[in-house]
Amino acid sequence: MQEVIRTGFPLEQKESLTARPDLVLGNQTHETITEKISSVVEGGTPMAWYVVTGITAALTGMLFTMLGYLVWNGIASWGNNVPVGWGWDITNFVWWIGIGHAGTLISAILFLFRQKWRTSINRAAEAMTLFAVMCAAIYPGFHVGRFWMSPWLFPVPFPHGVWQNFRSPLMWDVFAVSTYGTVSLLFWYVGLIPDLATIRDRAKGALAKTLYGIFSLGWRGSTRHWQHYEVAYLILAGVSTPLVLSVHSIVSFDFATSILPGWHTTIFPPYFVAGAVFSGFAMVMNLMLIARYVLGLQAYITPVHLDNMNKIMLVTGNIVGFAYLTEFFIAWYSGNPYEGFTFFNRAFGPYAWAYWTMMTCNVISPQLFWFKAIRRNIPAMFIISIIINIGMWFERFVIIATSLHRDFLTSSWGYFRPTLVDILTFTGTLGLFLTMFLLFCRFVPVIAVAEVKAVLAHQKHREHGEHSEHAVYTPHEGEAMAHK
Amino acid sequence: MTEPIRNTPHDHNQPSDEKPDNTYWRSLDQLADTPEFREFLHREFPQGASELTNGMDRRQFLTLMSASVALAGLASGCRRPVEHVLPASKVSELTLAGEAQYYATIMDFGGQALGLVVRSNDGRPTKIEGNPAHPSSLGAAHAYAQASVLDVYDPDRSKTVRKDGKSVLTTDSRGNEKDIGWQEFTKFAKDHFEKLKGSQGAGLRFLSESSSSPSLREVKDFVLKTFPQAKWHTWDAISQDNALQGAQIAFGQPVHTHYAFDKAEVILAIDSDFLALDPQAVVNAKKFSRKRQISGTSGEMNRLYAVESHFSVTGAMADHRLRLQSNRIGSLLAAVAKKLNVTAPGVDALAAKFRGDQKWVDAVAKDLEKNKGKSIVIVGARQPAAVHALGHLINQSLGNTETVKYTQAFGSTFESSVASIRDLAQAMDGGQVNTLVILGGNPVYTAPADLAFSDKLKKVANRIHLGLENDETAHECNWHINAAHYLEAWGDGRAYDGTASIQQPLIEPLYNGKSALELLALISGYPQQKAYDIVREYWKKQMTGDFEKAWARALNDGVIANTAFAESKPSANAGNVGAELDKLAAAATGSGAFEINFLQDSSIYDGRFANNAWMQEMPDPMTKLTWDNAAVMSAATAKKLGVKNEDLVTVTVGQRRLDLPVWIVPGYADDAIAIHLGYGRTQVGKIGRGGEYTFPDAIGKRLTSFFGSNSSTFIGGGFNAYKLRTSDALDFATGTVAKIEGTYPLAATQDHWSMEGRHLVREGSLEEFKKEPKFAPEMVEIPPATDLYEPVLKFEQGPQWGMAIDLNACTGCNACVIACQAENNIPVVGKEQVRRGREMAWIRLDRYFTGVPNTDFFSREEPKIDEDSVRAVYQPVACHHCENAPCENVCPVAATVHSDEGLNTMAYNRCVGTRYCSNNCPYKVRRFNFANWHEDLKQPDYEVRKMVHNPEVTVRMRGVMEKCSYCVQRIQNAKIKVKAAARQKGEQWKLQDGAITPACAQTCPADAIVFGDIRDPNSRVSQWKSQPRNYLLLGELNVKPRTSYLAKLRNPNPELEPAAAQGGEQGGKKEEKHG
Repeated sequence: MQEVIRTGFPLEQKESLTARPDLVLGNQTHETITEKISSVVEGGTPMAWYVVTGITAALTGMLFTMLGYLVWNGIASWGNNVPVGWGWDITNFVWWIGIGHAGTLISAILFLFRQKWRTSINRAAEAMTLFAVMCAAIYPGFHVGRFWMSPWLFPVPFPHGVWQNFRSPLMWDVFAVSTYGTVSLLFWYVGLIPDLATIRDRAKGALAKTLYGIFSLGWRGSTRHWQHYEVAYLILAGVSTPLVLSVHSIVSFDFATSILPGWHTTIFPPYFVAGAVFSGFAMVMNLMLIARYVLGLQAYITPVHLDNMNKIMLVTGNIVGFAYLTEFFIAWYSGNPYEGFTFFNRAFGPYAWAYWTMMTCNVISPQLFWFKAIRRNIPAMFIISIIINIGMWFERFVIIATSLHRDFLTSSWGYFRPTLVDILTFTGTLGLFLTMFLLFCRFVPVIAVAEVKAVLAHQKHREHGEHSEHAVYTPHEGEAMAHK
Repeated sequence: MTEPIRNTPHDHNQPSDEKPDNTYWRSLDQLADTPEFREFLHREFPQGASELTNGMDRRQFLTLMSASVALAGLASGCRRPVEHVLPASKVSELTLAGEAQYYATIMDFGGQALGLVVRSNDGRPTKIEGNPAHPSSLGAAHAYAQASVLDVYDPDRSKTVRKDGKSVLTTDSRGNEKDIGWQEFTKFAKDHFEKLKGSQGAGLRFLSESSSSPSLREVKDFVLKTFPQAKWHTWDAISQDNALQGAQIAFGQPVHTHYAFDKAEVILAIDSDFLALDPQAVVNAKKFSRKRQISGTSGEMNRLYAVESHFSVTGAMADHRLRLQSNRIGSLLAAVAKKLNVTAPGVDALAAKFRGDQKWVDAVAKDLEKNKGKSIVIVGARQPAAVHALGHLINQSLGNTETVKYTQAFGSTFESSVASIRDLAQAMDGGQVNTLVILGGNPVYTAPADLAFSDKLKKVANRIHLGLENDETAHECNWHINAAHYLEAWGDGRAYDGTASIQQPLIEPLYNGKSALELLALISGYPQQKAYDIVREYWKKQMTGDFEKAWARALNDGVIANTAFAESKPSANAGNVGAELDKLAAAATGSGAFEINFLQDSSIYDGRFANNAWMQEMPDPMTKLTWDNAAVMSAATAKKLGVKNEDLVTVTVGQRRLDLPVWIVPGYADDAIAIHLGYGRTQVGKIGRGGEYTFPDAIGKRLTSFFGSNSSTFIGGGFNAYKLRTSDALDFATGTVAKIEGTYPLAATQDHWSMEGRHLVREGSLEEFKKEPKFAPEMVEIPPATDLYEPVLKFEQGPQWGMAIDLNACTGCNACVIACQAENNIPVVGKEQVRRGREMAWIRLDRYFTGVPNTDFFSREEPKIDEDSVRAVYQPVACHHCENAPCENVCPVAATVHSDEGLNTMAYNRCVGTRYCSNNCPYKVRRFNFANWHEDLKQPDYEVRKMVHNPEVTVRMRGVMEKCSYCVQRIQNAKIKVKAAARQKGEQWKLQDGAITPACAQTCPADAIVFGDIRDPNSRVSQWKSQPRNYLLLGELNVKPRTSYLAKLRNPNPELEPAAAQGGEQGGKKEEKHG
């Protein structure tokens, strides 16, 4: 497995622009890293955790109350109507799925591209993906009129003998999202195994020993283990990579394959993927900044990491902005009156407020990231990330609601207003997401210990002036540390 | 035709008050309790036909048996009518359980009979259609008649006799409560009216609505003979009095005027909604449309001019429409008369008062002149009698003898109903009335406000009310008798031309209701007491030859042959007319104040359908409002008042005030508002009170309280315009309108006016059409669209269903909407849900205004609307059954799929409710059950409502999508019959063209909808589709719809529109109009 890579830069140029900055700060050793990150899991639970988790768990409870209410009463509890058959339900679905994308992108694509800075954030980002997919999956399940019939969406041979309609993009969605969820879970879990083993080995309580023992699947850190692990990880990264592109492409087919002006456009797949990465990174940023501060992980999540993430947001934000302009151009250039109307209506019609919120949040605010000072200013990036998440929510809302509310026949034009149930359900999914994340922070190493150590090893080699070939990963060292 | 069902367990000689209880299914108990039947039912097999020696043959017995057993099993059955009813001509040889039967009857409505054919499913009437043999119907029925079937099963109906507001109950030996109200009343009546007989009926008054029933007239005569001192009054809140009085002025006698719209080239409608709200509207529309349905390219069509203050359906059909305050319309007609040189003394004086478009008047007069003998001037019921008289005079001077015909009226003398009730009110006030018998109607609610009817009624010692509802009047009477619905009672009636029909009941009274005939018979001691006997005896005297045969034929056909009145040819007296015109000229009011127009409501009429959910949710054709009325006004008037939609205004007429919300519709006369009558009822069922209905009943209340919103804002029911209506100004009054603080939410199904330059309703002028016959399909270039994949269904075998709708014939009258609602068990959702955009109608009438600006996103200027040129167009839209249906491929569970006959079908059981199909439907015809709209049926009270359902159509649960099926149940029924017959003969089955008519097409008074096999080149639908006017709505999307439209044509007068108006898009400056 030992893939080898040349740095390509003479180490004497350390001070120059092309030099690689340190990804772990301070005078860290394998031991300190293990100590620090494990301590988050091993240390006593702070009161604040209980308070915050209590609040988010209450919100989660509200989510399930709202869903129960929805199932009991019907979709009438939401603001959906004819012509706006999908409102906040699918808006939130697409938004959550999009947020998940950052995790997969960081863990899989950046892995394949050997972007080492991913190591500090990939664990949390992948966890976030899982939780976001959970939140997202709630909506397609519950938004159907007859929730109890939603198993029919799966190709299970029911006795009535009717098979699913594979021409429907909603069917493709079922596969795309379930595949994505499954692969993301496996990827995350496989990556966790060495670290779980570390925690197991350090655990003092019998329960922790047992539970971490079960979940670490008997990991002993032997070379053979490491070898299998690396291969598995690489394969999963390879499998996940196309999923980053396919899931949101398929989600975008929900719209692109329809005949509705504003939905029926070929630009959607790349535009949705870019948007997903954009919002995903913003969400990772928000969560990591808080985690970094609260858990004291400044040494591992450095300004370099943050800077890199901001750069990705800048790029994807501009792709999204470009897509907005392209849509407008095509709406005019196609000469299709319905499409032309839809886009003018987006920008100047009754939902203009939503459109301009979207434009401001998604296109204008990331432009601040052109400035390095802002890219490295933590309060600024925190706020901009929040703004981007709001903007990306509005993007989905604008696409769904403004296209639906005024389509072909002017007689059927309408307007969508959310109900309290809509709002509380959405708030509830935020609660679920945060609860899951808080549980994650409490019970699982938030940073991939083994992988960070590899980065550290690399860094140390450089510092010692060795400019020979060196391994990307030094699992033996990591393993050795884990047994200390 | 079958023999009458004799030996039915319900013998009509059996006194009705011996029946065990008053629930509607008790008939079965009774059925089972009959000794013979108990025996039959307890036996496993009947012991052979030898027992059935009493006239019932084996087949009849089996028929009856199967029906009764089936009914018993369903536990929802009900009684067949006691008396001998006869299925109409459509009936099969046998009465088969589960198979629908059709009976001919009539609805005596607005003082005249409308012939109906009513479908009966296992003994319960479920659907009302027009009777093709009846001269006022010709096979179609208006929305009022069609919706009236729901009233039979209204859970809020009056179910018992009430004494001083309470049911009279007694407890029998077993402790069961029993209602003895009718027995008590009988006792009281015998006693009381016996005494009155002694006093010649002094102090006895009757108040009824006008009726065309000959036998009621006979009984009435008997009553007045029995009580010589008694007096009979008539009150109709909405009446044809002005027309009759106009005839009285012109001809010296009240006559009925018949307009042959199928023969007229030019029609001038003076404030007349003859196509929609006139009692004769159905037949008018039938005949009118014959002159609009032009085939090929050579057809000529009529030209309609309309003058009106509000925007009516007839105004929307007009080629030229002039908006004018109602009080000025008389002067316009006088100006036309003057131009036509109609000589009558007052014409000049009145014409001098005309302020308006003289050019319009000149052009109309010239056109009428040019079409002498082939024109019609029709004056609407809202105009004063003098204007009607002038109309007669003009028709006579134009020599319109072929197009305008007269027959005698039902009565030989004329007394206006307002005079009649005024007289009664005075008598009551003066203490001259001791006993008042109110036969139907709701005068406490509808009587002119200035009469203070309710106060005066209190001075009457004995107040007896017969009514369907426990309404305002019932509450103020000491005796309330629950009436039988017309579908429950025997009676008769005359069409406008005199043709008599028997009113045949479809079901025995569910709550033992009584008809006016029976009540009067009881009071007066008429020789027959049962309505059936009264009607039969009456007709026995009238009919010659074999009575039984003639009676059977009358029941079967729904009309009695040769009863139409002979044509009379009265001559108009210009002098008398002139005198009245002079009075009118002297009275014509000046300007300055607002004109308040009181309008008949297209949904709830005068308020009597206020508790009819179908009607409440049926959008008004022009305002598209449901569940409420409003102060409807033009955009200019609203601007002047500084109000927008839903703002509250206060309307003052004299000392009377009414606060109500504003609704803006372009094209109304300026400085005039229109308020529909019939809303704001106080003593009415749940539906009439508005939002407390169906969905809100079950869930909405919880929801609204959940949201903390003021639930009363969602309660509809509207505002009582009768409070402003006085006896001297029944149709329009002068008053003031001012804005007040506050808003009131209104629920409209469509609030966008403009077509936004899209070619949805395609319209052209007749001239343009003759030059460019294919102008409509060519308005939109359809690119050569190809399919990506080879279509699975080729549609090359068997019948291929399709529909064509002639927009040139469609008036927008809503009859199809209610027909569809009844046929397909479409639920009603309540006001709040309509506001949320969740109404369920499978067919809707899209109403667009042409001449209003399109949306201009870049202009912030105040939009300018030329309201004089605003016109309205209608487009019925239901599922188009696209061959390349966008809804089908997006459904993940294959719940909506295509049949090989080209139907886009819904499998409700398969649907999970993703709503993607609705999103992807370009016509937005799919309707989603956002909640369980039938939730109310779970309540014990509402059990009875289930009986109105068509058993052949699934009642959908919540969470599933539904939409128009082209009435697939009718298609299958017809196919089954044809296939069975063909199999017997060993032939290939083939359906005759016209064997299947969907409910909407069946009832369309304008014959604007045609359905059939598009593979058969000779079918009517194929022929329509091959018309040059035929176009596909949104055909450019390549969805290949099976429904197509024939473009609308206008026939403008070149003098008024020199450029031979380019129809369709009256684009103009753009504006966003959002309600």
